[in-house]
Amino acid sequence: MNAVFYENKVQNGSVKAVFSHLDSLVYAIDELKREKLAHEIVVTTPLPRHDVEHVIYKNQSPSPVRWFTLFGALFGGTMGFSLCSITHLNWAMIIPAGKPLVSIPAFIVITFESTVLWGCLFTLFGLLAMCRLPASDLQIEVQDPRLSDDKFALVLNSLKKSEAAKAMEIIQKHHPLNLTNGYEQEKPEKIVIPLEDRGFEPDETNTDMLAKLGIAVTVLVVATVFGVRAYFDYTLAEELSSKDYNYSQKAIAPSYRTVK
Amino acid sequence: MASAQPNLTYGQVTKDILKPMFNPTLVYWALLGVAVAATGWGGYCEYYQLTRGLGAAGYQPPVFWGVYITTFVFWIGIGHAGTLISAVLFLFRSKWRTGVYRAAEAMTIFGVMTAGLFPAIHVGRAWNAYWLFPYPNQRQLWQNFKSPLMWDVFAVSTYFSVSAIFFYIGVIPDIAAIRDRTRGAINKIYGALSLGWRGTDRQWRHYMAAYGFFAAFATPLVLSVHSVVSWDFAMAQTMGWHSTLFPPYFVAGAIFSGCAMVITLLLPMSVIFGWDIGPDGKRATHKHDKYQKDVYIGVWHFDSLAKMCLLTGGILTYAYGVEHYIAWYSDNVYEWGIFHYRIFGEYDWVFFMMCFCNCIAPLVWWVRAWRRNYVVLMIVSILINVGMWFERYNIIASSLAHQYDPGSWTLYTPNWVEMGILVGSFGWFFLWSLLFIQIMPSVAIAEIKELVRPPLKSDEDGEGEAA
Repeated sequence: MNAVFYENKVQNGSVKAVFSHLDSLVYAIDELKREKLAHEIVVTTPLPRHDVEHVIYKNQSPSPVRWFTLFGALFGGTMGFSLCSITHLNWAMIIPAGKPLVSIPAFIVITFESTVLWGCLFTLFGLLAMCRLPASDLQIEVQDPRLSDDKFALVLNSLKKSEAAKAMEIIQKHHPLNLTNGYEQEKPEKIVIPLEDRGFEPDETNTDMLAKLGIAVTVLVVATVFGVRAYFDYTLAEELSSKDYNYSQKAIAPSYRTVK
Repeated sequence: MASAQPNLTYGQVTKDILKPMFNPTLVYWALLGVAVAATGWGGYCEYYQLTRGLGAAGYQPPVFWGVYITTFVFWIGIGHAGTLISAVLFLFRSKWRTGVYRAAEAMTIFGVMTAGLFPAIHVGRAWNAYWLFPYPNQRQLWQNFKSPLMWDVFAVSTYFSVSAIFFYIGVIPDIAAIRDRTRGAINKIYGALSLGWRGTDRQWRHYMAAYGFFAAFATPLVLSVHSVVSWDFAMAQTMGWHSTLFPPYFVAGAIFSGCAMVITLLLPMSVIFGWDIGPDGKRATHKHDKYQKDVYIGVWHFDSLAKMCLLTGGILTYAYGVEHYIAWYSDNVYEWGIFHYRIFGEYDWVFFMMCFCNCIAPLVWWVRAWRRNYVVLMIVSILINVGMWFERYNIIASSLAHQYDPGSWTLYTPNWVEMGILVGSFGWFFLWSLLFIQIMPSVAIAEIKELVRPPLKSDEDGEGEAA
């Protein structure tokens, strides 16, 4: 249990290449695109890289998330102003300080807040929809723990056998760390992440620690609340009670529940 | 790309940032114990108030806004630096933000979570707090949308929602990195939290577009939220409050206190986790500036935060001067009377605490060496936070205690229940912060990697910067 294992499975019709170097990846994508082998390409990186985006999405329009944002903001602004106006028109008794029923300056604040809120919510929805998230079933080739650390991967899908062989040839020229053809894979290779590269202790300890943390916080909160409560019940509160809540000590003011 | 951290590799970044996680030390447990005890104490005080009625608080009629509203405004203000650092500085492409923005953003969330408790505590009948929100109901009861208190409900809830979304979106790639290094139950938890993120080209493309929009939305919020909070006061006809100066004055104060709190929180973290240790194995302090930009969080970041405090503190000092000048120049006896009372009345010590902590103490940061001295940074940042709490107390308590009718004048002093809840709010805030540093990466892994020179084949082959 000293390492995270990953089985580097690659499906039939797919080719997967893992790179240690960013420039090798970019050159490989570029060449595959020129050879028209990258019609279904997935590139995975541990950070956003504009050079990768540029080579894949050359001459394409920007992300459509912006339309979600625009629609959300317009919807939010309309909703915010409508909420205020319709409420005040229907419940006309709310007329503070002789302001008009529909008071634009007074309603601008809620219109603005609603614009921002709905703009953000729609952007979030757009992001999740465009990224196909939440997802538990993204293709097996990209579920590789190295790709959130320091490696880059390139996966080509829907290739014929001949195309896969040609893609392998091209990619090989760019010095990949691993190169796997789904048609040729017999037994998935086991990838091991050494313990010292993981940053923290193995999972058993982690789970254990989380449980301890949860129990410790709960016990401490409960014990403190009840401990302090018991302390006051038997000391200060009793004393105040016996003195009929002496105002001069500014300790407590009586409420209708406690006045005798 | 010019690299701010040339001596790091992607793998090293992941390892270094994940290292403090799931690894609580004895000091950590002790701090957690203190935070939990303070939270418990605050919880008990609130329980005491709930069961005995709002009379348990030390309100002195006509002072019905006291420590609770002071503390509410204080915590809302604390949250401002997070959004400023994460959104505004993102749009300005400021590099020093990268190391500190995750913790600052988390601080925003926890600050607003803490502030959000206070309206419910303040109104006494906390179980009816949901009446604040507009919804169709059977009571023929609708909120007054022309009231600044209603604006505040919208402003704070929007601020919390947007900050939470912005924070969560930012942390998703890092949660995926944790998922990829764990197994068992913890892997399942982080797997679910990462939403199945894999960092594909498609995901990054939409992610970066959306992140820019979130930043663009969050930026006006930095200015709007505390402006709206200031209107809670400025729209009233109370002396000392009814001023058009309040929005910029409050916004500057909020950023000032927020940046100071970021220093207070991050400085010990940086020292404990060794995030300020340079490639030579030594701390990059003021005596050792050579590697200041090669560390995750160090003097470079604290120096920049201190400069932010100097700027906003200067604006705040100017605002203090202007509000007193306007009161005098207006020739309105009531208005000038309240400002005179603040300086020479029973609350004079509050006024002088405020002036010392907010106007005088930060001046030491004009000296470069003191902006880079950890002890000075820590002391001054704490003083600023104390001063900013007193500023709100000075505004609220003094104005309400001395209103137009001298017959109603009183002296409000908080009692043990209010002070207990104040202490509890700090416990609650630090409890969340302490839990956060154990279960989430406190520095943004993916964004730090953007500052690192990518691994290039051409470098290895000695072909220079071909890519």
